[in-house]
Amino acid sequence: MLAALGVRRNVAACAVIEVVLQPFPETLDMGPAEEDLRTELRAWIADHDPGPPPAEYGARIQALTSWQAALCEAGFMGLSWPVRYGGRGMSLAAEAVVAEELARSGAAELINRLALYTWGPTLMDMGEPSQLRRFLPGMLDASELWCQGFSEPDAGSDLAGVRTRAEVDGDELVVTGQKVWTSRAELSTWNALLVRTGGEPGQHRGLTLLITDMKSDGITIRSLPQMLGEPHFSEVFFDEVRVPVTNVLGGINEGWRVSMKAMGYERGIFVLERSIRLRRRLSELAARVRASGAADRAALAGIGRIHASLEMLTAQAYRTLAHQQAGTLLPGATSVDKLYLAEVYQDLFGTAAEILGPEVTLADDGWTHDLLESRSVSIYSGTSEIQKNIIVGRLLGIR
Amino acid sequence: MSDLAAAFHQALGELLPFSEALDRAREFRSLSPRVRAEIVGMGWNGLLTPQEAGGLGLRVGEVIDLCAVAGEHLLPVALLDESLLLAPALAAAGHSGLAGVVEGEVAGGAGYVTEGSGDVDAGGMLTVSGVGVRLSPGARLAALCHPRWTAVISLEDPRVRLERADALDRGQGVHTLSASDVQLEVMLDSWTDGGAVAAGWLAGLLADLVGGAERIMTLSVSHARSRQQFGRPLTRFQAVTHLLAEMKARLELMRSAVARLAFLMDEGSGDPGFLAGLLWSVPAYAREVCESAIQVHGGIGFTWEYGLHLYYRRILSLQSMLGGALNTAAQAGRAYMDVG
Repeated sequence: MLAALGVRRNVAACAVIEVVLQPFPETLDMGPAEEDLRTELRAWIADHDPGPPPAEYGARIQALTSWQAALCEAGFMGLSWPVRYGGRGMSLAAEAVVAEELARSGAAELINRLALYTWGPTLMDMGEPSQLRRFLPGMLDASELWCQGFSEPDAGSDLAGVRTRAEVDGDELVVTGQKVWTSRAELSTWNALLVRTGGEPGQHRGLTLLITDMKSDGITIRSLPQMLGEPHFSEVFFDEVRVPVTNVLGGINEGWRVSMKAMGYERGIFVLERSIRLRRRLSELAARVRASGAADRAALAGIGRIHASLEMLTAQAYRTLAHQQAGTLLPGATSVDKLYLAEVYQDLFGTAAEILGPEVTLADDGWTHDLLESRSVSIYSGTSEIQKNIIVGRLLGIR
Repeated sequence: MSDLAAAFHQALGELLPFSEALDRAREFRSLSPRVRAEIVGMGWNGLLTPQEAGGLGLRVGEVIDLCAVAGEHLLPVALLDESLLLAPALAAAGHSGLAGVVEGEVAGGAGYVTEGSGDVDAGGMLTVSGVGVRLSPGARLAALCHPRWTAVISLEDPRVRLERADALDRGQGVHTLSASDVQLEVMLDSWTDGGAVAAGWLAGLLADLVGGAERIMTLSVSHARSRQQFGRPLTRFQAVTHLLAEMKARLELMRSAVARLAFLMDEGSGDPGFLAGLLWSVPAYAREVCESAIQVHGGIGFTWEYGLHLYYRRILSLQSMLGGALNTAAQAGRAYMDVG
């Protein structure tokens, strides 16, 4: 039987059999266009790399904003976006190249990545032409940063529990309520705000996604310092905040559908970008171990385990992007990526602390920062427990 | 699943009933000559052997699908060894024994030589001690893969000593092989053809583990759906479903990584560091999936007749014969440090 098929391959039907044998893309194929882009970007970064951003929070945000503006000016932002929206109309593989090459630079982070990777693509799928014209350009050059208003005191992982209400009043919606854990709220121009326009808390129906101007009257932002001591996230209070109805994304009461779409995007390129940042940290760990001459078997096994995990994570992210590109991504599939990102993130910094010892874990600000920060990864964007519930429900079909 | 893999799946379903796999393990018995001949007759032994040398010359991306089916149906691993390492090594060296192996007339097997368990000296003579090998019945040739070389030796050489080592993975023809100053039939340097030959074999073994894990996953979900406790199915208990979710995540990661490995190999851009990493992670994750499966099943999963142990034995044996979890992790770390 195998031989028979082998013969068919030989004789005539090579192309046909190739198609049959590869029904779905299982990994990302970097073609010549992507490799050309890599060369171009690498050369540009070599000339323009700003180096590591300052440790102080405000100065770091400023430096990262300037860095993204410079990348945009040079034509490297939104590569997979259509040309008419300021992109280059390339594949998601091109975005992967950007994430990989940025990770090699001093400033691996894109300040407006929430807009670039999540809300830009969601807007292009579900937004009105006027919304695309208004919102997309500021995403690319970081002149308008985005935050996301999903979580509330009674709606964390349970998104359907949203209570912040919006009443339609003529051609505006009037928003009253409270959000929490909103990252970079005080820096953002726009908030992708999930509000309740109908139904009851606990129901998926009756939610609406409102693109809300963070400078609107009635918004109060109260910073919540993290365990890292940084003002990274905030409570945001809405007191009769008026938002034009033209800022509704996807229609009134369509917010659940919009949110699910956005979450699918959230984890594709984002996980790849994070994984590559982790690769950079592993490489720094290896360099320190090499320099200290402490590469015993336990250290080698720890480094080997993390290296292998990062390769697995990258392979998984590539497969997700390939399916995203082909439109064959299964609902819930990206929960595997997010669940594993958290595991690898925590394993890397936990292992680094053990290998490097107290001299580093007690004294080095960078490694202790990341060790503490790693605990947030299994909480933000859906806790690891929620990811498991999604895998059970969506991928295993268990209800 | 590809057409080719689907056809193979159906064929193995008929040729290798699960009850027969249990019997083979119970009786420490290998595959019957008739079934072996049927499988070899399909062209199995020439999967990665070039067409001009009499094989099918499939791409690695095609072969891993077939190996996953082999793992799912518990095809003796020695058949993967013959097809994916022994035959391609003979083909790469232009050895006259190739046709016999591809046609199934000459049986063989293979094993992985970890650092420290032996080497080839400057004069091209092999000395190894206690290397785990899987051999088909009547094996006359064995391929040995070392991180720096791939070699083939004749098992008829009197300086080769074999001892049965099949307590764990019964019916698979597992032996330990020791040899001193044995002449090589084939020697491939890993920097030339040997690297690709070894990588094709290792990719196939990893895909075998993916197929086994997939089968175990299916059994576990099915059991959790049907088994009732406290008046409701196990799938209503989050402690159980979260175990299933962790298993599923591991399975998808294994699948993505092995697909990526095959893709890179077919592109000719394989990265030794990537493969070294997978030699730790894929067996380790397969083992986690299987251990969780046994837990999800409860008592029935620990019975002989249910047979989860056949997959568990195979996984443990493959993991051990690749060097074990600690060794493969350290090896991956060394590969990473060397490159960095």
